[in-house]
Amino acid sequence: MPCVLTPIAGSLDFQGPTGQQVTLVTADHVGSVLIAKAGYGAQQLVPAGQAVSSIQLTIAAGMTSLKVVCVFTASMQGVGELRESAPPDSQFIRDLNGDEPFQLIRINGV
Amino acid sequence: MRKSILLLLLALSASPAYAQIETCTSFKREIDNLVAGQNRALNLLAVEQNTRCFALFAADVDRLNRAAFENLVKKFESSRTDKQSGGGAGAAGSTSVVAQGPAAKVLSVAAEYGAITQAVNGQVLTVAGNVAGLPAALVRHDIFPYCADGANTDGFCVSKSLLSILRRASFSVSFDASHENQVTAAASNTATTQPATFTFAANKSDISAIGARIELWNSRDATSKGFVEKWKAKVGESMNTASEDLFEDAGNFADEIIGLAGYKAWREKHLALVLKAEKDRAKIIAALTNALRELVAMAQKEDAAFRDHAETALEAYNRFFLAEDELIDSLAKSNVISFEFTNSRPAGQPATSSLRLVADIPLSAQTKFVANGGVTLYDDPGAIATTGATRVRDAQVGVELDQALGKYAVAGPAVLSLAGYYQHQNSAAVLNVDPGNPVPGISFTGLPASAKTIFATPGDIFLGQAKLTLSPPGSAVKIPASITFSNRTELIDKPTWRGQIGITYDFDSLFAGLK
Repeated sequence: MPCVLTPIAGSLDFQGPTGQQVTLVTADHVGSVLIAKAGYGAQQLVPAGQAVSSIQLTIAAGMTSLKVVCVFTASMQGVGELRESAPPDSQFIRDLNGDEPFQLIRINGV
Repeated sequence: MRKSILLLLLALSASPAYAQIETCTSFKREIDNLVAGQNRALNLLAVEQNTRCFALFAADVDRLNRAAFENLVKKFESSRTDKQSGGGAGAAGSTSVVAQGPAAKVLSVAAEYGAITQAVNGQVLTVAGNVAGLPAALVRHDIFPYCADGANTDGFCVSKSLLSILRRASFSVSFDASHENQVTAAASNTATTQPATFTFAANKSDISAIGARIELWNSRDATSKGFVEKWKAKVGESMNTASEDLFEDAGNFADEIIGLAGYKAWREKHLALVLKAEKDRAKIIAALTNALRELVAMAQKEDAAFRDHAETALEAYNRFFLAEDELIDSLAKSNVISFEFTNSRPAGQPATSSLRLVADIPLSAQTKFVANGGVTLYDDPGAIATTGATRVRDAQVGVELDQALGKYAVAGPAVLSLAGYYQHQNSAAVLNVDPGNPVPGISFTGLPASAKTIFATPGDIFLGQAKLTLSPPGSAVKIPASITFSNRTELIDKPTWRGQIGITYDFDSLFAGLK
């Protein structure tokens, strides 16, 4: 199954077909990284009190922000990345660094 | 000449901003990438990727440092006992015992910010804390910034490495808060059978013991599979509040910038200028500095409270990084060897000092082994010379095995502990009999009226204990219930069985909820 998000040129934003489900996963480079909080629009993607390595969202119409807060075993020295997972396909979405645990990714549903 | 002076002034005024940008790791990383020839100009100017660095620049580190100092003075001023604005005696974070005790100002500030714990054991009230507790509490309450990556090292902040060192040391102060009480006990070593009963009264707020403990060796493990498993099991719950705050505050700050009417045009304009700097580090930093200044001016024009929002976001980052480091530090401790010193001044007994080595060895997530060995010395051999006692009062060794029940870890809801203890009573336990300053809670039968000092028979004490500690899920309460057998006590040369049930409360959770 191919990945559904495509980068929007001249920005760090992505776009994809409205209504399509997307799975995002963390990949570890230095230490382990998990997502402690994620919100897409008004929808919370991680249950309170949990930290997960995978989140799923359904692309909403128009430009909507995905906000994530990541936690790292290596604290500020931790490094990982956020990837879209669509086995066997996979693509890079965003670098995750321990010193910038909050990331905002805008997804335009078309 | 005038041109040279102007250039010098420009260089001087620009240098702090340059330094500020380079000390923020995310900016530095992207600048390094650009200098290395990577096409990352867009990433450098992306608030959605470098939110913390944008907030640091917007809030202005110098301004934050001044604010931190003013805030600290203000908070300490509000902690003055003659201007108490918090809860009175018995209220959380403001216990009357702490306020009345020695060094009350420091301890009351520590209590106010949740840096110390308090426990009552029998008639002794103990305040205990980690040396890192107060600075960490000040960070949690947004009084000091947390300079985890050195972004604030030119100013007022609590550094990660300092906290890491301070966490190795802890202290305790015990106050003898006993009231008048009377218990009858037979003296074990008397020269007469004539009964003599005393009623004792001890002074409240007397310091009965002070203690210090320092970790000598800690085989830190923050990388093994076992550590990662423990971290994954705990991180969601431990970081929940800090993550929520960061999600909210950093999200609002980023949203505010992205939502600026001129944001897209600003990014396009300055993207071109950063690209024009090519691989020249100084030019890239200058271009970024100008871009950020323009952005802050634009944002402040739309919202006068923009800098305050940046500051709020930074406070959330501080709390997040502190919580993250505290969790890692607590889980990374593997085998720990500590040295403990306790100076005890019990009423009616000679002062003693105890020196003890403590080995804490986790065998698995569910099992822990602890071993102690120590000696207790009389502080003033002259004071006990008439009893024939020697300086070395006793030597002790103890071992304990803690086993979590069910799937839980040792810190979890139910723990079964088995302990053994041996004490060689090298020198007699000495009690000073003084009706004007009696041993609290004890009265003696069979002492001659002229007796001033009594001492028990030296000997070996063997003690075994089984304990079950229950921790209701989601609660800071622990309920230990134990049964203990000993062949004798220090005073009474007879076997004893004793059953105990108690309740303890972790005040950290209470203070965390008061933020």
